[in-house]
Amino acid sequence: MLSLLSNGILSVTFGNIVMMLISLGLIYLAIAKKYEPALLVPIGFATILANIPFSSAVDQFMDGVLHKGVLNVFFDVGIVTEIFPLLIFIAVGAMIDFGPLLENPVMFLFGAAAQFGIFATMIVATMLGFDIKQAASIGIIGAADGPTSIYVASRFAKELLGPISVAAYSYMSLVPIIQPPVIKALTTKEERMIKMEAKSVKITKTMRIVFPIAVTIIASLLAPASAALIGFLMFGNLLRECGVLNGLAKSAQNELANIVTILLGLSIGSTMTADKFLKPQTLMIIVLGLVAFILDTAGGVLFAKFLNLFLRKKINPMLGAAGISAFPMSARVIHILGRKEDPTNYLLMHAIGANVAGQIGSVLAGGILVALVSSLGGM
Amino acid sequence: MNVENVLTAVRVGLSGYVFLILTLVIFFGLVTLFVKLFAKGEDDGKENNE
Repeated sequence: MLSLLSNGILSVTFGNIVMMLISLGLIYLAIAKKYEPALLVPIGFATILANIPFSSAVDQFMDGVLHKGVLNVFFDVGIVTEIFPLLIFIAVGAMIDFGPLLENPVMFLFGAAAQFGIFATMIVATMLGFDIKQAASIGIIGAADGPTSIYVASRFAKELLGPISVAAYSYMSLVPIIQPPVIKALTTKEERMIKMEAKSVKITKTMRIVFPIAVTIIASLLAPASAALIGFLMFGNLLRECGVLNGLAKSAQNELANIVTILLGLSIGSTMTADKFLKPQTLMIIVLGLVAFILDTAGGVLFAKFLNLFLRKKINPMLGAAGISAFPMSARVIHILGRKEDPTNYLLMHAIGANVAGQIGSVLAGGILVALVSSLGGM
Repeated sequence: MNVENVLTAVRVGLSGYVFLILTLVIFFGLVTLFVKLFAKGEDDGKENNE
């Protein structure tokens, strides 16, 4: 009887201990440093549960019979079916105001350019020995958009979902540390001081309503593989903008976002077991995630500088860096950098325009990757 | 390093990035046109009312 009770303690492995330390580290970063706490706390806690020997929270074989663990049930129901990331997109869509982008549509270009890191990192990952599906899942960390990363990784590389999610959400929190040195290295002080005129275009309610519907139809026709991603994002935005579903829009922004975030975090944590996580691959993914963010930022800034070669009214090239998704963190970073160079420079609304364009760009990039890898990769 | 894998990734990466940029250039064009048309329509409406 006593041996039955002490079975759990005696079965703890070195890997279990390391994973518990990692989970405590994630919980510490989430609470003390406020690094994406909504996701890292559930991930960290589920990681503890998943690394306890014979834990009833995860699948266990006992006497040859499979006993389903609740965390694995969450994973099967929400991640394998791709439902959780898609529901999160409804919430994200309900939170986003596309007004600044409609006022300044040129920002769409930065939303595309700043996805450079996704594709470049995918190539680097294959050079390091990852297969094309794993490489695409790693590259998508550069979308700077957690749900898109989870969506693509759950499609192509479920075994890497834990490290990819942790990298994606951690680097999103670290945008204020990652982006400024890259931007400063690629721009001169004069360029960073370029002032942007405030836009006086009045965005009507009709435009706000038509926008999500039109984007869904056009994007889905151009890249059908992105229909679910972009469709759910834009559906959430339509709830927000239509004006007759304020209750639903608020529920999407709050209750839906909170509930699904908890379930998403717990599901991801269930994959972070020692045998899956403690591999050299994990370190490579963490490094490649950082590379993706750096290349995204560089791609956006360099594209803005390239545009400036042809424009009479120059664009502040820092705005290109806001084209990575990481909404609204990246926009704030660009605004603060601009104010540091010139306290009278007000870049926030332009940067938010680029930032929400990055949201659309990252979702489209995810859909395009799914389509291309599924076909070229021989799936 | 699997050269075939890398070449596939280069092909996917290049075509994906170009396709993404073209898609968002289309959005840029359509939204610009859309905003101009709607803004003009509104002004016209105001002028007519006046």
